[in-house]
Amino acid sequence: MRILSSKTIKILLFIASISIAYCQTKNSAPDIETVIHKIDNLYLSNTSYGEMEMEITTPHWERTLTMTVYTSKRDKSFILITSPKKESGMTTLKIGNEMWNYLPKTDKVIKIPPSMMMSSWMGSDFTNDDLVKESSLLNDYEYKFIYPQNAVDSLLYIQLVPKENTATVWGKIVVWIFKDNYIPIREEFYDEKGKLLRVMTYSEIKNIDGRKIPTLLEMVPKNKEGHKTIIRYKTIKFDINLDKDIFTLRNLKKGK
Amino acid sequence: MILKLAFRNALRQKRRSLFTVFTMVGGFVLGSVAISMTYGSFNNVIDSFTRTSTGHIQIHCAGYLDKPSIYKTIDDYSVIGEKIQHIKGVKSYAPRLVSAGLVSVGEKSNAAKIIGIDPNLEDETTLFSKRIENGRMFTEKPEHRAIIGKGLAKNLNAKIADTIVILSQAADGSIANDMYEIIGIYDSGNEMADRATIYLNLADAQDLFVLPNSVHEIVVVLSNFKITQKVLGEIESKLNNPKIDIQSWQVIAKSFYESMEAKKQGNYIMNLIIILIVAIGVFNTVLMSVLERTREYGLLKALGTRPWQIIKLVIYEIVLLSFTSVIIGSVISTAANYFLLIHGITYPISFNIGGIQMNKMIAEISVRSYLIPTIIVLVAAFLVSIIPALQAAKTEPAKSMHHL
Repeated sequence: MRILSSKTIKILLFIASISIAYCQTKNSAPDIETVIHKIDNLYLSNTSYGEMEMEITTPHWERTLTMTVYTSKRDKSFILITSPKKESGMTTLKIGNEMWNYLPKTDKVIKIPPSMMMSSWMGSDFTNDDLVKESSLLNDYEYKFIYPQNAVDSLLYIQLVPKENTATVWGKIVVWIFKDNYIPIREEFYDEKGKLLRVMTYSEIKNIDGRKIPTLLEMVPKNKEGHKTIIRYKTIKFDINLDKDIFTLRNLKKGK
Repeated sequence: MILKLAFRNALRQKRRSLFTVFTMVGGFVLGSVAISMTYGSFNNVIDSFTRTSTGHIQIHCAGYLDKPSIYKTIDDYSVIGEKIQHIKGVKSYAPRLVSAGLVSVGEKSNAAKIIGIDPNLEDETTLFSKRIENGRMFTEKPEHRAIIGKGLAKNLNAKIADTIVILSQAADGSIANDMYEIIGIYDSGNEMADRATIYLNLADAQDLFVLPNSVHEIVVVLSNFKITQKVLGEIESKLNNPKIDIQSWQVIAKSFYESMEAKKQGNYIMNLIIILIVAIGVFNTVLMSVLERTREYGLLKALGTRPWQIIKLVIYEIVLLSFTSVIIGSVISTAANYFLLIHGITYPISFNIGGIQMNKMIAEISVRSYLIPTIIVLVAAFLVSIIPALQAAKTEPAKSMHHL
């Protein structure tokens, strides 16, 4: 005991801590909060205007919708379906966690009740909840890096488990991210029993309006064979001036 | 010789014979009317139930009944219709598109079954327009009109000429939504169904649900529901398509069929009691008429008649009387049944079987309602005459004539 004086212990501790820090950088594990923040805000800005195509495939039918989407921060969005003709003019408004659909043919505004949140939006594999979801991965989930056995070197894997009071149906979400630009490539959604329910893949990364974003999103539910929904961004503009009236029930009927 | 004797015996005591015949005729008529009323009213319920709603036979895409889905459609329904139309016993057929959705008038809304019907074929098959309580039937052309159930109209506070909005999911995944003008209020007699059913013109419904040229159901009505199984077999072999299910009303309206069967079972017991009463009545009369003549049989024996000849004599007499009773009984029963067939018996309180409002009991004239009482009267008379016949045969001449 006499040999190891308090001074030596301090020095040893210092060396140890440095080497641990060194090892971490060597593993190049980035700051997890930074990564999740990036995923959370991938398509997000103060305001955005986008035109997209939604291609829905089921064993019984196929259908492609085109739509214009306006968003304001995380809490407001407005979707106008522009084709096919039969459905053009249908609008969806989301403010906070409330949501309405408008059907021009019958002049009906339908408020989506909480019980319908997990139902499909316009027959797609995206739920109403996917569209209104306000929860941020950063604030509402517990997260950690995971290292799957067959992990690819260029990717990072993050497992997200909802915090106790987060309202969600998922038991676990696993996101695969590119190591170099933190752009997600795949998102797996599991239920509470750990069963894989659906997979979303991101691809066709393009530089749009100064941002590098995936422009093709493919949602494949694992519990419904033959179902698939693809979203393709045609144009997207960030931080533009939008009329505040866009996000009102009045405009829902006008369809902008 | 014995027969002649039996005949003379019967005629000798006219009052006694008349009384015996009277009892047996009474029993026969009672049995006949009871049976024809039972079957008549059951068949009447079945007939009106099947004719107005389910039809006698239904054709669906395979597995539709177990697990209905908007995608389980029949796409060549007019071809199938053409084929079955020519089968003997088929009266007509009607294609239907069946789905469900939310219907609303003003602020009120309700979940409802949405049925698309072909105006002409449906009317021919189920006499649809006869049950439109208020308003009119669809015209041949689709014109965005709707006919709604009586109860549904009440729930929605809807009147004729109101606009009704339907909201549902179409077969292409889009939101099916459209407006229709109410032109009729429908009273099928099935209150429960009327509370949640709306009818559209088939073409309008196909348009709403994006199911061009498809239906979910083909209803077939026959000239008589009793030939259902036979015609079903013929349709099956004619269509010979494993992708479609062909089912009889017993399968489609299973709970209705089962409740009818249960009620029939209940009525068997009722009929059994009536039969028993008839048998006891016959037995009593026959026994008395034989015992009354103990001394005569004693005399016959004393004159050297064999016991089996006496047995024959008694049985012949009774059979003779019972045949007479059956003939008279048949005439009276026919008159009674015919009267009840036309007028029926109105129940003091009407009641509901399987959603069909019953307020009248109607008789049915069939072979059954004569055959069963005939057998009962003959068998009962024969059986009951054996005991007194044996009694008579055993008579000891000295003893029985002692009382002379």
